Amino acid sequence: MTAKLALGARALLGLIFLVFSLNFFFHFFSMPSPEGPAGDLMKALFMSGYFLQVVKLTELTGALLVLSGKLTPLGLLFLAPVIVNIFLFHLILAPEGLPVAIVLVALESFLGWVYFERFRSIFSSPTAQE
Amino acid sequence: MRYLLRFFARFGLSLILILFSLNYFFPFLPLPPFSGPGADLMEAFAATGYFLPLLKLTELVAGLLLLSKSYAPLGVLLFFPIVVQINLFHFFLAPAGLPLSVLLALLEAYLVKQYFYLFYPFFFPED
Repeated sequence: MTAKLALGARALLGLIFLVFSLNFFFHFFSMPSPEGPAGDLMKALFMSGYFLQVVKLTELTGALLVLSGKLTPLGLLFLAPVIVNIFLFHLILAPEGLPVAIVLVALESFLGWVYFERFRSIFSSPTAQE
Repeated sequence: MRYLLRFFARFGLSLILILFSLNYFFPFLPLPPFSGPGADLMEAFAATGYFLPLLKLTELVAGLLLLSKSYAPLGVLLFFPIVVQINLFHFFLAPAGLPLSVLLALLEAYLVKQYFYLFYPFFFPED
């Protein structure tokens, strides 16, 4: 049962980021432009010339990794800081997008819980090499 | 020898991170104010009200984790996206600060290499 849910969560998380990051580069559907402080931030990030681009590239890579199945934990690592920021951005600056942000947090957390054993190595102490 | 090098890399990076992140919350370092295109982006970040505190808090936590031998790999992982962005920022918008950011990148790269066997399962799972 968990395996099926995990598969669905992986597919959903991967597809959402895949579609939206590709849309940033290839514009196959239009998103409503954010207003106010949210819009200012997005504009400033875009004007930097690299920041938004790098983030979208990270989203694309993370999405592909999550969809891959074999390297899903790596994809989850890539997407984690992105999702933290998407959530805070919508929480504080653009509450109308909060439902989607919460869904992303839920998917990432659920998959993090499913794959938790795979993350254990980061928390293990470096061996006596040091 | 290797032990000393890794020790100093860990503590050096940790010191820089802790100093600069604490400086954000309690300014004590005489740093020149931002100017030029970099300033616009920093102002936009500051205007959000949450981004810079989050970033500096993450830096502080990473710096503290690096002090502990057991949790240093986690600190390395937390700092990784930050060091990428710091270098991109200085490379594209504020080349004057590149030397320090390259130093951070070198320290981080060295620590990643030392701890890579812990990150290995992410890239090459056995099953």
